[in-house]
Amino acid sequence: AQADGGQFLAAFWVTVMEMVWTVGITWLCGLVIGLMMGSIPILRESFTPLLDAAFAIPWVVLYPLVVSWFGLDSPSKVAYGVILGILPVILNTMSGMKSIDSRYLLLARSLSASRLDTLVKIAVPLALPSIVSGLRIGAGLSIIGVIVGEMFTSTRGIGYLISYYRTLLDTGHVFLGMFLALMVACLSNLGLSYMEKKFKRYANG
Amino acid sequence: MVKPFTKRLIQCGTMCGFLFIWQCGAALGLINPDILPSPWTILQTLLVIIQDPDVQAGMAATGLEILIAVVVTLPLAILLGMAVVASRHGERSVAPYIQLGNAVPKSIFLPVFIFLFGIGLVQKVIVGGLHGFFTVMLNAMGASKSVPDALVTTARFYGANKFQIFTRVYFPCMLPVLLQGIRLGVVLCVTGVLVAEMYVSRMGIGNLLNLWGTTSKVPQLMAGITLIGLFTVVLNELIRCLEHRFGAWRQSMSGR
Repeated sequence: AQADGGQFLAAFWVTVMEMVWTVGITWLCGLVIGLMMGSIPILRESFTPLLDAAFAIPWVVLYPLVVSWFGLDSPSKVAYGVILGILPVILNTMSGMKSIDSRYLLLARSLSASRLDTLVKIAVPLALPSIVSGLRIGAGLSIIGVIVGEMFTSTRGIGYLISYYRTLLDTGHVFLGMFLALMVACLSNLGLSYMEKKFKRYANG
Repeated sequence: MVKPFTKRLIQCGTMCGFLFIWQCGAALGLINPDILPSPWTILQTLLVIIQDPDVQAGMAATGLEILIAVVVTLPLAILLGMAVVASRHGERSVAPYIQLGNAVPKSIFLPVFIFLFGIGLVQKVIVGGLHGFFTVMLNAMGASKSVPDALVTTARFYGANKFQIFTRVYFPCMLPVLLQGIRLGVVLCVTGVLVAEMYVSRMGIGNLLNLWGTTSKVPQLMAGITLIGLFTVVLNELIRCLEHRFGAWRQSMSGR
């Protein structure tokens, strides 16, 4: 029982890799969709209520579907994490774009800035607090999604070891796995809060 | 300003367009029906499974778990939140722990709950309740603090006793924020119960979803997911209507 460090370390590495992929894809897709829809007022006003309603749906129930589409291994966990985490990113990005004072956009147009320039140099920095907050919530949900997905059905990873040892009623190993998963969640939360604070300072200063 | 009619048109148009493209894709044979059934198949399967007694028993079991979790945990969270703010040192001593409980992903603790409470109704209720408890308690604490002192002072000036201050000033002021918290709490409770059911359970809709998943019955799976999604969206919008009804005196920030 004492020599299981290697097994848990390998699983830990697998889970962390999955989380990195998941958070990366969630942020990228969420930002692109959110910025695209957020910069066009008609789309923004129309889709915000739809996405608000979609936020209430428990996307956790999609797991068996995701597994039958992507298989048992890592891709299904990444897809599941992306599904769980992408909605807050999109919603907060769109909300951030909405809260921009229209005078800044008027200034941009009066200086004949291109659409891309307006978006990158004026809109995004102004909307940054909302966007970063959304990134943080989305990343948190994605990470939980990866761990929970591994706990449901998987072939490797920390969640897999937790479930494996749970079925053996081996409480010690279960708690070790839970502790590792908790460490990852808490450390990522701390890191994201720190990132949010730094961006707030940049946005305000 | 975008006209409401245009908004509704775009919303309905997008959803109908998406379903139309999906149905066309399935009808033309571009989409494999084993992987992604057409919307029409899903609708037919939905009507079939609703009449299945096993599915009805599962829905009843899950509904009961959600109901008990919400009815037991949310009022408790609200009362505790208000009590914590009312006491002098309560908030400073208790708030960090509640925030910790809120930030920690409670789904990780599922094996512990299984060890402690088994896999029956009690465990589902506790897991679902805990998912919603911390958020609602923080929300109740915020709502209590948001009542302007000026209103309470004015009421006391006019000779209102504690009970009257509570029912005529505190409660109406807090109600919109509380309803928002209750809405979030209900959604989180539903998520918690479903996660617990999908992990390990003998009854309930989560168990059925797992069963359909492992036997690759994708139409039934998607029908079940659609059912759950419809149910939660309707519940969410009902509570949002209540929020609007009681929060009419408040400035709405989302501009719906």
